[in-house]
Amino acid sequence: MECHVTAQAGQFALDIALSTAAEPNWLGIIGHSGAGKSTLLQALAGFNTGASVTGRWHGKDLSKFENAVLVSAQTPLFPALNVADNLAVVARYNQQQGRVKTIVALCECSALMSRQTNELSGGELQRVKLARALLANPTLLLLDESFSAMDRALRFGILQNLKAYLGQHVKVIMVSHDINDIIVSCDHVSIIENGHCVACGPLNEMLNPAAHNTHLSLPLISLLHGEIKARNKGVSRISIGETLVNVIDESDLPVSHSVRLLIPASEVTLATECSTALHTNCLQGTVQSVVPYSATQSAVTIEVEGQKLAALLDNYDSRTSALQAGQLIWAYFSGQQTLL
Amino acid sequence: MEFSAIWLTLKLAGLSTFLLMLVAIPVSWWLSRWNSRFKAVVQACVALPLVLPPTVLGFYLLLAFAPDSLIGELWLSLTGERLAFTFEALVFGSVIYSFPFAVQPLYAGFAQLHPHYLYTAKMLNLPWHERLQQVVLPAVRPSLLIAAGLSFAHTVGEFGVVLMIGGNIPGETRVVSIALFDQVESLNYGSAHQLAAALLVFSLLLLIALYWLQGRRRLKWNVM
Repeated sequence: MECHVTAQAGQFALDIALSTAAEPNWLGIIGHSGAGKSTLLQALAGFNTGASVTGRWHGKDLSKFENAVLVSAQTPLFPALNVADNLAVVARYNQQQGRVKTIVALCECSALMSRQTNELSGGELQRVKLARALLANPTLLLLDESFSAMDRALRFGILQNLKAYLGQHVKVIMVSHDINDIIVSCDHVSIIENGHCVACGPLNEMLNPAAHNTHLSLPLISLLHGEIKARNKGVSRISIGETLVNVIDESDLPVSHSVRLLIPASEVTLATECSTALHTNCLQGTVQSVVPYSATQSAVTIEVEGQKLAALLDNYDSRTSALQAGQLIWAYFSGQQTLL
Repeated sequence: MEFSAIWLTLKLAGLSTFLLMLVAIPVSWWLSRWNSRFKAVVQACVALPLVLPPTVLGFYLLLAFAPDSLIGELWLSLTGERLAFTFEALVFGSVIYSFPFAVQPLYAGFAQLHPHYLYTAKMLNLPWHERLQQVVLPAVRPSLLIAAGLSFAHTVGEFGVVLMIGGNIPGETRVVSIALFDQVESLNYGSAHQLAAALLVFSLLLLIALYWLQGRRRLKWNVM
């Protein structure tokens, strides 16, 4: 994928060059407020008439994407129409009348159809906007904080359904301040600062602690693969290799289902001796590397059950300099982790 | 009761309002989307009839409509008749005199329609007539009502300009306000009262109807 976007929004100048070796299906964009994420998406959607868009994605010229559809705060519903009519008018002109029911169910809008747009809450508004965008039959879907007002369970549910519905045919660029949204959905991620792209690559590589030498926008997070072995009163027992961990689980995933456990490095406590007093869960592993993460912290990568887990240690902690590759170590974390 | 004057007034106001809407809608749209340092000059020119004494405007229109002026001569060559002191002159004068009353509410209506509504509708592949019907018209409907109502009411009540360019020709230029003035000059206060009261009640009812219609259902057109 190659993409170069330049745009001017008032005093703010955007000059973003995105480049990846592989062709992403879902590209996540993260960055601080004011970095240029929304300006980028508006330029791709044709909202900024002065913007220049060049490049190719999956062999298609980005400037000639037929249906690039944006879902954001800048794409309001039409106040003169109720929810059903907002959807119907878009479906009619995109020959999607046959898909209205499916899309309304996917976006959980069935109960909202007779409502006026000014009666919708923030989360309801976002769901209707998403449904309307899907009815425009997009080839490129641009999601700009499109789930921010939804609770976590609803958000993940809709995201998973959306991924299944869009398949490989629709390419997605998603902006979100919530890193969990990006990790759940995106295969590639790009970090934007001050109108420029500072990093772009596959998600797994971007989560690597070594990638944090140049930027700190992406929080250090590990993804551990496991399987649900048992459930009891909202707590799932998950096997990570040979070890079992307990995680609070509000989803309705069945037993034996493969899952990913998302563990922020900041929530992992390391100990050089086994102790039962620290946290709910404990994984034993060996130190792989210790690399500088910030001025005050170092990132420690541990191999546990054949997978990588990252943790952060303060530089002033005497153990940080004493850690050596291959050393036995215990990682502790609570049961309040995200399950994907 | 001067039914001939009342009919002439309603005809003048109706025709002027129709012509005003034809001209003011595109001008207001253009002004609401135009950004230039000269915009203030254009806006001042449009608003000029609001502050100018009607007699000043009437005087210059009278000069412009004279058979030896450009407009008067052009009219004479097209129709074979002079323009000043005719019903057509009153229509021209009313359109110019009431122009700001049509443009200003429409300008406000178009300006409050955020471009993102139109970008969104276009992005979702709605054709132009659907964008007009579902987005533009609902957004500016209150402004359209106010613009048309104020233009009509203002034309019904105009006096100075009519007196300068139309005079007092029964069936041709003798509108209600001129007839009222004529009745007062003739000390015929009974007829004057009837005309004055009719104008007062009509204007009041029109404004009540306008504000009622405008406030009936206000849609929110803010983005974010």
